[in-house]
Amino acid sequence: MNLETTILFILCFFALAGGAAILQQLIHGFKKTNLCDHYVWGIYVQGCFFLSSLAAGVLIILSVMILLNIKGISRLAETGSIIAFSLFIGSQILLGIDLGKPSRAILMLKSKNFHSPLTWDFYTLGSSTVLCLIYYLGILPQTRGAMLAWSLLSLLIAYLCLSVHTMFFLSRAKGGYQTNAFSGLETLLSSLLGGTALLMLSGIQMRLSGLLLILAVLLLGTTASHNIALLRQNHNSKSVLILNLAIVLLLLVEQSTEKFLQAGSIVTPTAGGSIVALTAAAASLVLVFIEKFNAVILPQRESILPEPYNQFQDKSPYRPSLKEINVLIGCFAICAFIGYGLLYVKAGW
Amino acid sequence: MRYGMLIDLTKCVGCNACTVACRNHNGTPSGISLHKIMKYEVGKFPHSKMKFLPMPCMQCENAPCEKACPIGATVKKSNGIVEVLADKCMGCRGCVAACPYDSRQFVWEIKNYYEQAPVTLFEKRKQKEFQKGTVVKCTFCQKRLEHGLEPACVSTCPSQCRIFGDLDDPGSELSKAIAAGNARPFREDLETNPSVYYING
Ligand code: SF4
Ligand code: SF4
Ligand code: SF4
Repeated sequence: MNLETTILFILCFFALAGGAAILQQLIHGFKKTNLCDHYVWGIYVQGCFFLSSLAAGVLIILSVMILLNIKGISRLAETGSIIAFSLFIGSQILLGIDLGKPSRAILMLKSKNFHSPLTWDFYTLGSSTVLCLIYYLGILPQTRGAMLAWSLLSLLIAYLCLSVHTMFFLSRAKGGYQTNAFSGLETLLSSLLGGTALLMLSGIQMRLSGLLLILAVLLLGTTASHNIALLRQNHNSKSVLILNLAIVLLLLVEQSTEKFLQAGSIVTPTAGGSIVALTAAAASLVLVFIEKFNAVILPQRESILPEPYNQFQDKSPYRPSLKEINVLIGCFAICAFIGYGLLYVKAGW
Repeated sequence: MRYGMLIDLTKCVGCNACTVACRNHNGTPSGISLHKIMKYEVGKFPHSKMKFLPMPCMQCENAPCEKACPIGATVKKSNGIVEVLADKCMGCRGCVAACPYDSRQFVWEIKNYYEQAPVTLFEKRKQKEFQKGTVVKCTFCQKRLEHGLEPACVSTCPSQCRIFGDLDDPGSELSKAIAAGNARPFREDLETNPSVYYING
């Protein structure tokens, strides 16, 4: 058995374990979770936002490259569409298991309440998945017009998908951090950062550390300015800032040692990435996960009712239970299995 | 016709009789309450005092919960009552996240009040009205309204601080009391246009 097949079998084992954990959750409901009326959305929704953010990031990068007609990206586009597809599937699994009555989700097709961000979430996630699948299966006519149409549509839908995720607490959260509808620059940048990082880690033969550095610097500036502007509102994104700074420093070290600052080096078709760059990429994924914690869990930590009415309300933090963590890891394993499996089939290993 | 409620906070003594009456009438499982009283302290010791804010659902005219519901399981009726259709709700909790008054609860599980003891006949009957994995909220006791009765929290209040009636009828006791007491809704700035008014105490 070759190495690729062994990896596939290992991933299959973990995906099956993940499937069992998910099944258990579906049968027993939220019994062993730490979700409650104060934290109605927990690590499942955080995970869903995380996976869809990475997937949307990959899809946006691919679309822009196709739109700009960048040459030599066919391998990247193929791998990228597979990665995005599996991540979108994973995010929908997480969204589904977070429902109290998952079988009723089918009613979404009938109701079409476009006032609801969840409706947009449903449609954007679904159509992004289909767009990735179309690319992967190669059923898109190989004409410039068809590619342009695909990339424009993907760009729009992936951006919509990200923007929708900034709207859930609009009616109750204080204005500002993570609540600016359709202009969540931080959300967009962290998605692009995560998408780039994932492409780097997937082993494509293209050097993306320059792009990662630019995105990390932009995100640092946006998060820092948000923190300064909202200093009094006690929005805690210090961990994101520190990690972001570390990523920038790591990438600067990598760029300077490899003398990679000359023009045109943002995306260079050379082999692999250095250990430093890959470490920065892995740290970027952690950053996106924390950013999603700040977007989903933090707004719920604050009481819904303002002072002084919330004086005696419980303000304890949310900690996911072991079962929730199990399910999340299981879902990640399913994503990895789907992604790797599709690559396996495509490459004919 | 738009049902509304006035709560005179100058009269409220924070006894929680309304919360108990609500639980009793609706037979809510343990851990679920469609009504709550927010207690808070104002002033500094030794001149501080406890104050109370009783909160049923505000039955907002411009209801964020209704907008947030992706499958139309939250509906606003012609009488102004915002209702969750239990047989339709898929339990996504988007409405809970959207409600700025913390007026909705998710049925995580259906529990008895006395965990060690067998379920009482009353609980057995009432628990059938709740579905695990869906969202519940106050509906101004619409079943009582159908029988010509006032909501349980209104009729039980010992200090008679609540008035229930039709907001659309300027001649109703409710409309007159709102005008006379200069009553206002809670968090008016959110522009949800609630049907519950308060006279501040
Ligand atoms: S108070 Fe909350 S649950 Fe009630 S109608 Fe308004 S938004 Fe909906
Ligand atoms: S929990 Fe039920 S009522 Fe609330 S938004 Fe979801 S489907 Fe609608
Ligand atoms: S109107 Fe009925 S359901 Fe609503 S808080 Fe009062 S007693 Fe409870």
